[in-house]
Amino acid sequence: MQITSLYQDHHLWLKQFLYRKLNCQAQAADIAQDTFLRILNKQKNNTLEQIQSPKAYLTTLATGLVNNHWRRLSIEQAYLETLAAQPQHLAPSPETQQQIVDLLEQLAQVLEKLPQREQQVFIMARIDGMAYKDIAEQLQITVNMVQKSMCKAVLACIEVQTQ
Amino acid sequence: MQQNHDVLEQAIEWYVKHETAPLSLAQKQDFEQWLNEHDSHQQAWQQVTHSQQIFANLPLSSAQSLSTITKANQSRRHVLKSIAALSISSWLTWRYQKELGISAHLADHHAQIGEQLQLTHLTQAQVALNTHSAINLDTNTLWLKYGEAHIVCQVPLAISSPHCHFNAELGDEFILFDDDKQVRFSALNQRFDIVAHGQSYTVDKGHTLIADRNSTRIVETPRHMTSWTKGMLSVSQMPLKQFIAELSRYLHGSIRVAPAAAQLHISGTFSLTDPKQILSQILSTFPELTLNGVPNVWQVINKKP
Repeated sequence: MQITSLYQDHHLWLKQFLYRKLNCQAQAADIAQDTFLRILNKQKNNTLEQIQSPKAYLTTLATGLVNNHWRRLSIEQAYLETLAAQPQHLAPSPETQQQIVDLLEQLAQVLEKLPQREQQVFIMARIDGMAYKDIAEQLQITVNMVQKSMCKAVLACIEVQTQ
Repeated sequence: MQQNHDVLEQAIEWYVKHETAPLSLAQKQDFEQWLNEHDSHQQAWQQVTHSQQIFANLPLSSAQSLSTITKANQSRRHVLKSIAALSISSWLTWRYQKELGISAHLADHHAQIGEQLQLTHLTQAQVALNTHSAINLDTNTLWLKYGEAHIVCQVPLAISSPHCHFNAELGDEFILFDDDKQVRFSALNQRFDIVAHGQSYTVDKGHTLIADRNSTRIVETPRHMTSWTKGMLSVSQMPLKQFIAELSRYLHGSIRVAPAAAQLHISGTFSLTDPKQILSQILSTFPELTLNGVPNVWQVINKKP
């Protein structure tokens, strides 16, 4: 699959598709670029699968990116609201705030990948900082099940971080 | 690719082992050996460690993180009509069932947080539901799904809740409370034989059985356990921590009491018409207390140093 021809044949069309979704020319252009960048990266890492139907492929990829974009925006918004309700002197620097939004975004993506049990275990271990045996006790499962859930959760983290 | 993936899974298994408990000497040697076997093992180990350590930089509690993500998901869902957040909402149903009240909609009758509901039109019983409670009912069974109900039977009924069951006769009057942490049963008109957490108990009139996971006791019914049926929260010399735990049943979100403030004692009768008002009353009575956090999500009561 030649990425050049893919770009030439579909770039304009994709931009229009995104414009209808986002209602903003600049964002549509950005995300269209990102979509092709994704494909380039996939090609570089040898993870680009055979593209049967370019339109369907691009639509799926671009829709995923639009979703990420919205997720980022809405998490940022929700976090700022949470922050606004806190005493002023506790507010972190803008730089730290961006890092926190990054982490929340990752956390949201990780949780989306996991079944309910694994979500619970991961939150308890990683965010609440609970020991495995305490998690096992609270959820009334075995430590072995906690370990299995954590293995899945850690793998999900890495998938999110390397996508 | 497959080989990379296998190494990654090995690294994850080692990481999880480390987190479970300190490694034995033999395990340590095995780990060292695995780590030094190949460069790719070290890379994978670093990747795994990094992927988890970054979460240590998140200065938010799990409640804050999840409420932020949920809020974000809700607005996103609104915009996108996407169902991508479904798995998160199922986790939150478990964690914050109180907040979402989703399962309430599956019950025959339910009272929302802060609400007290009189069900006077039922043929089987007169029922009052306290805050965040739900029941299902058929001709001869009453199932308390969660929460608290004051019941006067008008026919013989089998009564059942997640952790408790018994038979009640015509005219029997009692209060049953059941949540994840505790079962409470107050016998109001006569002596009852009940089963709680799989054990049989006899509860005399005017007494309350309090059963949690670790212990069970029967006490003379404290005032605050019945006062809600009159729309009041009535307490005497109750530790602030316990008082807030009671009060927060009527409020959205969670309220924590810092250890420094936990030793204060509260006495008085408060109207449950506006539970938020009770919180501000307490704060104005004790000027040394402070309230921080996000209203309706989480708040902390602390004592000024």
